[in-house]
Amino acid sequence: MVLYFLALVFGLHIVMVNLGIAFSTVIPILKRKGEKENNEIYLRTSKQLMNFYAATYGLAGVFGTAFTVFLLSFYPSFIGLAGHLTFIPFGIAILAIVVHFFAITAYWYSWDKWKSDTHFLIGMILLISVYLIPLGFRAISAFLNLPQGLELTPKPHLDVVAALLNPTFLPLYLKSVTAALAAGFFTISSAYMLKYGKGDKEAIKIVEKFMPLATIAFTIAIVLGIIYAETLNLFVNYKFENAFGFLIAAKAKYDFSWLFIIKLAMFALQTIAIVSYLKIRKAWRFSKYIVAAGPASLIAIFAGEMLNSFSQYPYFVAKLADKEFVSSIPQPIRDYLAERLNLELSNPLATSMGLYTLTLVFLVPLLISAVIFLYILLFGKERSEALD
Amino acid sequence: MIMSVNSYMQAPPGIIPAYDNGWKFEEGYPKLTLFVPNEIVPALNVEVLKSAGAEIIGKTKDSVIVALPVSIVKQLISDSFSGKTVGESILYSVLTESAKESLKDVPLLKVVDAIVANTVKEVGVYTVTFKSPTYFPSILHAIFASITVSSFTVAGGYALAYAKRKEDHAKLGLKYGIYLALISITIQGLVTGHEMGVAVAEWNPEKFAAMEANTPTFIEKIVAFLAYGDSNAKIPEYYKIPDEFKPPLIVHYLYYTKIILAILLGLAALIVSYMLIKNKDFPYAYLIAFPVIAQVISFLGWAVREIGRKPWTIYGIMDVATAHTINPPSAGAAALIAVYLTAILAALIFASYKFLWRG
Repeated sequence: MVLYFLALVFGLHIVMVNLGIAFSTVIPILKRKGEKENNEIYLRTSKQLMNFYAATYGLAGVFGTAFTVFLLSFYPSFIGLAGHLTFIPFGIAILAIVVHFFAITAYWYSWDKWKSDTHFLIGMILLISVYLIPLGFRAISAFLNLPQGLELTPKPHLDVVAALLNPTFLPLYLKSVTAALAAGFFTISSAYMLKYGKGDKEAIKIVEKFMPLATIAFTIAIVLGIIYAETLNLFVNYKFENAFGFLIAAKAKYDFSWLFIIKLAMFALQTIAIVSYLKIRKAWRFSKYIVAAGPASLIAIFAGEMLNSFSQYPYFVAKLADKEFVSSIPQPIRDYLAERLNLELSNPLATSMGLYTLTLVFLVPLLISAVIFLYILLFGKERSEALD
Repeated sequence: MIMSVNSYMQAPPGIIPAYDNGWKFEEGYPKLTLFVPNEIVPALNVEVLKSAGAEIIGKTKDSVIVALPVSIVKQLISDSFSGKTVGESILYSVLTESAKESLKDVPLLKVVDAIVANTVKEVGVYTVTFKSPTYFPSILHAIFASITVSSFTVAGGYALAYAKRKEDHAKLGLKYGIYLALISITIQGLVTGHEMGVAVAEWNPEKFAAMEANTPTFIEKIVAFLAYGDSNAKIPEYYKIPDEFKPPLIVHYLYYTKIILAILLGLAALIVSYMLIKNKDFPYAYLIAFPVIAQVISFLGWAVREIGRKPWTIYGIMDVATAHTINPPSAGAAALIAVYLTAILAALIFASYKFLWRG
């Protein structure tokens, strides 16, 4: 139950922030391009995307906060340890979030109010800061694969440079941001293809623009995904085997390859959308496959994130499955780490059925209101006011 | 909910303060009430525990209720978090001979966790933080602080807009903001702030002593009346607090700066309200300082609350040294982060100003 709660809020948070990465990249560039080329469609689209992003960023924050609170409630000892060790990467992410939040508000409120160059400058802050956030968080994810940079003497601390040279870090970071761009481009294409299908003839210009970008980003993300998987194979084999399980005939302790199969199915839908795009690109018409590609890409992100997290079960740090590595850690710190980095040892005070029920009582209305909010934002009567 | 956690950190349920018309540090106070599980009780040497200042004050079906001097609680928590075993901790000295042998290699954290978790269960898993004796005044004080700061912000923003454009809706916004601010700051001063002060005097006497450390005698009488309902009551003496429990003296200066600024802001709100009611002209653009001053007062209030809790992170349970990261940033890194955050704050204020100015 504990892990389902964590997975749910983390997955929703990740999907929203992935869209945020793509939108923060697209919005300032599209607006600038629209201004330079005097292209009304680009200008309108960038404003529509910004309205959506400004309205939903808080939602991503709510689920991110819920995840942090859940993690603290269920695994207080892990948070205590992580606070001592990963303070700097967390700090990088937090400082980037602060400036990103400022950039969102300043960019949104100053739209058409400030000079174009000033607005574009804020847009660049929006763009750059969004890539710094996962830089910090993915450094922590890589550390949870392989605790490179962990120094035990004279006291446990993190050698940040060594941590950033973690072999799983760069592939994971690049794969993540490229996949985020692909998902964002597919989602934009999907939404505007839907608009086109409902009679907005100009919407196809946006699909025309974003489907090639989605194709490129999707292809690169797959290559980087393979590289990341290979680094896991080389450095954290336990996680690799759990992730791909029977698909690679591995003796997985916990076979989570079903998550990878979901991801593959979503990849297939995105590939079909690309094929559809290649077929219709010279004579554009409605494609239900491109409409399906947006949701498919977001489900793939969700499944991929779950796969990356669950495949190291029951270890917070996947490398702890390596007996040779564990025996290289001196006592008593070995037992100390093993106890705090065990996902099966959750806080007994937070794992009663009563508390689960109470959590659900609060979580369900939050989820329902989030769905209603997104529905109103996308399809409700407020749409014309919000988007135009 | 967040205030309940913060209130728990100020005064957890079961805390027994060290002041009752005089300091009781020599008698082992402050003490914390703990529910020791029945499984652990036989391992404890009751006579040794009592000689260390512990009092057995009752029983439940599953536990024995013990009031333990917080100096011992602090040491147990500190030893637990530094990874010591029972044999390496002060707990060892209060164990029976047979328990000493069987428990000496057990991580202390396991034992302390069991006692703390059992205490939380006995007090109420869902309600433990809400049972802090300072919760109710704290939540009221925080809510009215936020209303006060928000209404001064509304007033300041509309005042600037009104000074610039003289539009009716801006004047209406200014009126709405300033009247609400005046009502709110009055309630804050006379009711919620007072209740907060009374709670601090009763449950955090060390902090109260720090707040009133260098207060002139004639003001002390007023403070004594406000805190205890008796102008002849004795204010706890700051300089008699042992170093291990003494909050920093700066709390006194922060507190009185806050009080003076709050009184001045309240008077200013009264004057502006009068000018608006009488429809008189006023250099309204200057009122943009209101939000800043209100934020400073709020900041000072939180500084008194948080710094005044030192040397505790959770009063009576965990001290700052235990809660502190073992890898603190260097002074240079901390300064750099402070500059970064200040720069963003400045940019945000500037952006807000530009937005308001341009409308």
